[in-house]
Amino acid sequence: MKAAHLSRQQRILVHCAPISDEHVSDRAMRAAIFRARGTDEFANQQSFDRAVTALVEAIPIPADVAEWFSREDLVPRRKWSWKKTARNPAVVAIGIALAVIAGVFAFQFSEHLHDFPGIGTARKLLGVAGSTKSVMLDPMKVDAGTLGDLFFMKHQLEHYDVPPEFADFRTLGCRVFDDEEGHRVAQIWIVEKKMQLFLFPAEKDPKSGAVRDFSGWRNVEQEGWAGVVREKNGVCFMAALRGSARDLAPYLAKAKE
Amino acid sequence: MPDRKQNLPQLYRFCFLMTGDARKAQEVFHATLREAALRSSNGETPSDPFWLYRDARVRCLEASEQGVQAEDVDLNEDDLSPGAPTQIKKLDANQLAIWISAAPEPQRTALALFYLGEFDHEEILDLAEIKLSDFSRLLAQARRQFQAWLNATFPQEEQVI
Repeated sequence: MKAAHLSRQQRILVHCAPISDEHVSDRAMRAAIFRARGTDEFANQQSFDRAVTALVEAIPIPADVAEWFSREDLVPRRKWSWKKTARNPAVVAIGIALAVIAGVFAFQFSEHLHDFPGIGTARKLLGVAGSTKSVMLDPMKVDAGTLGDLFFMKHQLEHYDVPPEFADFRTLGCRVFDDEEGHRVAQIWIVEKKMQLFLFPAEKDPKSGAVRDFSGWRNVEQEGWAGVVREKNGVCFMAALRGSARDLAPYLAKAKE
Repeated sequence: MPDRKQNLPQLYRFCFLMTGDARKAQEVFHATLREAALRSSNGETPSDPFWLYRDARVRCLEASEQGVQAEDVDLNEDDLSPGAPTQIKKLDANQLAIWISAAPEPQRTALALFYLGEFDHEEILDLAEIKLSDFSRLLAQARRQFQAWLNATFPQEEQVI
C-alpha cells in the first residue's frame, strides 16, 4: 500500500478521524482522511477503532436505565449556534455574494450620485474635445462672450451665450456642427489653457418636451478630460480642458467673488 | 445529535466507560436525568445540547475519585496490528470500560466520547475541553497502549512463512 505524505496538521487530524463519514464535519478533516486513505497505518487505525466502537455498542443497557428512554422532555434539541451558522460554507458563500452585490449597488449609486440631465451628451462632447484639431475650427480671435451674437445671427441658435465666467477669454476659433442625434452644437477653442467651450441643447423630457433643467455648475469627467456644465434657457454650456475638475474650479470661484 | 432515544443509551454507555463500573454508571445516569427532569419541570430546560454529557462527565469524575484508584504507571506502546480487531473481539465490554476509566483525564473523557461514535471531533474538543493537538496525541497514544495491552493479554501467533 502507498505511504501517505501528510502535513503535521493532517497527521493530527488523521489520528482523530471518525470511523463514520457522518461525523466528518469539516473540509480539513475530509482532506486529511482522503490523503491517508489507502495506507496500512490508517487502515489499521480504522479497523481498530471500528472494533472498539462495536464493543462499545455492545455494552448492555440495564432495565432501570431503559425506563428513562420513554421520557420525552429531557434532552434539549440541538440548535445551531450563531457561531456555527456563520461558519457554514453555504452561509459564508451567500454572505460574500450579498456583499459583492451591495458593493456593486453602492458603486453604481455613488457613480450616479452627481449625474444631471444631459450628462451623456456632455461626456460625448468631452470625447469630441479630445479628438478636435485646431484646423477643424474657423479661426476667430475675439472675446468668447461676443460669439453668442454670431451663433444667433449666422446659425439661428438662440441663447447660445457664453457665461460671464468665461466670456472675457480670447478665442482661437469656433465651429457649429450636428452631433449624432442631430442637435446643433457650438464649439469654441480659447487661448486660456487650450480650453474648449461647448453649447448644446439641454435634455428634454421625451413625453412632455419640457427642458430638464438643473441649477448651478456640475462636474463631468471622461478619459482624462474634465468639464463643468451649466444649464440656462434650455441650453447647456460646458467648459472643458484636459485635466481634472480641480483645474476648472478656480474659474468658477473667480466668478463668485 | 440524532434521535434523543438513541442518545440516552449512549449517555449510559458514556457513564459506563468513564467509571468502568455498571453500578456507578447507573447512579450517575439516574442523577443526571433526575437533574434534567427537575430543570425541565421548572421550565429550565438547558439550552446547551450537550448539557447531559457535561453534567454526566462531572458526576463520573466525582464518582471515580471514590474507591480504588488506578496506579499512575507508564504503559507499553505497540504499533497497531492488523489483527487488533480479532483481539478486541475476545474482550468483553467490562474490560474495555475498566481500561478506559483507568486513563487519566482528559484522555479518559476523550476516549469515551470518541468511541461512542456520536460526536465529531470539534464537539469532542468542546466537551472534553482540550485542544485538537492534545486530543490527537492522547488518542494515538491510547491506541498504542491498548494495542500493547491486547498483545500482552491475547498474544498473536507468529505467522509461519
